[in-house]
Amino acid sequence: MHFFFPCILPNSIETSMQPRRLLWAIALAALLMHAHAIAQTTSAKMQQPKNSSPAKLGTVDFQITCAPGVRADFNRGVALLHSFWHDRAFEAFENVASSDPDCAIAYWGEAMTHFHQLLASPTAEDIQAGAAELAQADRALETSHREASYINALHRFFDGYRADDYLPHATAYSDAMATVAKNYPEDLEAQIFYPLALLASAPPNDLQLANLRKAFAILNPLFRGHPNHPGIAHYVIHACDNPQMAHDGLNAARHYAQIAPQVPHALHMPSHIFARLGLWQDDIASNLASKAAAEAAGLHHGAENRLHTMEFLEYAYLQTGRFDEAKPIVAEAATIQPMDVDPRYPNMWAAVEARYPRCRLSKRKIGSWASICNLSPTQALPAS
Amino acid sequence: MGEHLQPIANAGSSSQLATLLAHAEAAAHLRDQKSVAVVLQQLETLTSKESRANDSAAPIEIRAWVAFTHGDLKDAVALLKPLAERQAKIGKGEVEIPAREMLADMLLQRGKPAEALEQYRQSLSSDPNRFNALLDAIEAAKQ
Repeated sequence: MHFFFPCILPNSIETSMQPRRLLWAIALAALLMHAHAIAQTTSAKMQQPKNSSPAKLGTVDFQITCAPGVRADFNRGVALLHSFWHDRAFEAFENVASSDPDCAIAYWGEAMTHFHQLLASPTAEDIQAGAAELAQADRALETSHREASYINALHRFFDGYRADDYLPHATAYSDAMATVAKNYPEDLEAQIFYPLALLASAPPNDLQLANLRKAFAILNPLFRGHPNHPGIAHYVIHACDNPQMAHDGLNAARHYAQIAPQVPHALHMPSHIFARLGLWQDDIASNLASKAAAEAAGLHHGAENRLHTMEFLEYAYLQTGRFDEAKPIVAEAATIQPMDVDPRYPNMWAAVEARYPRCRLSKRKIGSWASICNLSPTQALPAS
Repeated sequence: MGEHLQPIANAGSSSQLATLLAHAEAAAHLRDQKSVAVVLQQLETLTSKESRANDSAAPIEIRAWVAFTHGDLKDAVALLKPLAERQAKIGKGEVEIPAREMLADMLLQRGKPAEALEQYRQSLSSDPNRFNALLDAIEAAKQ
């Protein structure tokens, strides 16, 4: 199962021609043998969830001051929030609010589902909904200083938000969450929502990855003590989704899917680390499981989840020489209708590019440059 | 399959760019100057309508393939190198081809196998186990 290609090429490769050739021949042989081996093992890993409602979402214990009867629903909402299943999280928080309308933190939960950090930026409708929910939170009577500080922090994001304002508002929220985490060091959830805020406010051009490293430094020590918490494992993966830190995320990637085994994002997200590390067999297994979960009857996932797993599958199949399995993915992506994709995730809709054959990746088995790209060559293609 | 590879008129800019990049790279391999001119025109139209499209790697890569096709290897390398260095730190897009691998492909095609091999080595260190990088590194090592 664990198979490693040479991640870094041997130094001797640069020394002489003959050993260099030999090493590459070995690497290629290993690659092709590996492709054959995983073709036989991956299908056994696919599991179709049988229940219509996900039961296993990990362990979350967010202390609240509201009626004792709403705690289970509230924790369920937070667990769903940590695995980015925002529609379902909203339903859970709505249940809390309808059972206990004075529960201020329930409206905070609803508003958090409209923030959807690390996914597409909120739409104007999301901002309007989030602001209205925070106003309800402000009016509700049952709250504590600690809960009020979560609500006030989220105000920093929603208040006065205009389109393209994402980064300054996400940074203001992150700064406020830093204070919450500092003021309540015993509050595990504050120590988790703060690093999430750091990830969501990471400046896109920071080559030093300061926010990501800071988030990892907070989360990783917590992972050992709370191995079944959905947020910790999840956000470690997001923090490490880059070439500099990918190795540090492998442990979390190997655990997160088991924490929430019916949640498509929890099944898919580990594959970001597997893909960074070139662990294609794990990448494929992860996305087949996620795709099956996203197709499960009764769970009502948007097609964006399927599309996203399909582009990963296409890519990983091509990396392992499984060209015959990559091809049907392209055809399948073309059958997905725009109306089935959640319009709040336009970035995921762009994943439909999977319907296009990837010229560079597939040229050797699928066709020549000319036939793939529908261009009229002015000169004969040299054999490659 | 070729007839499907056209940008969808109403698709988002990232889907359009993926297709244009494929066209640019294919045209470059075919040494088809006419086609890269068409791709460049389509790119300019797209980015003038939607300036955000310029934020991704694809427009830089498309321009590099255009330069390469015109015989300007130096210009192509100058475009791709900063992108490759940035990607080594923060990562390439999740299902994209690494810019450094494209750089290596260009060097190999222009008869510079030793330089290409070094670029493949670096590319495989930040994006390990990529099928084409391994295969083309073998090519470079043989030459």
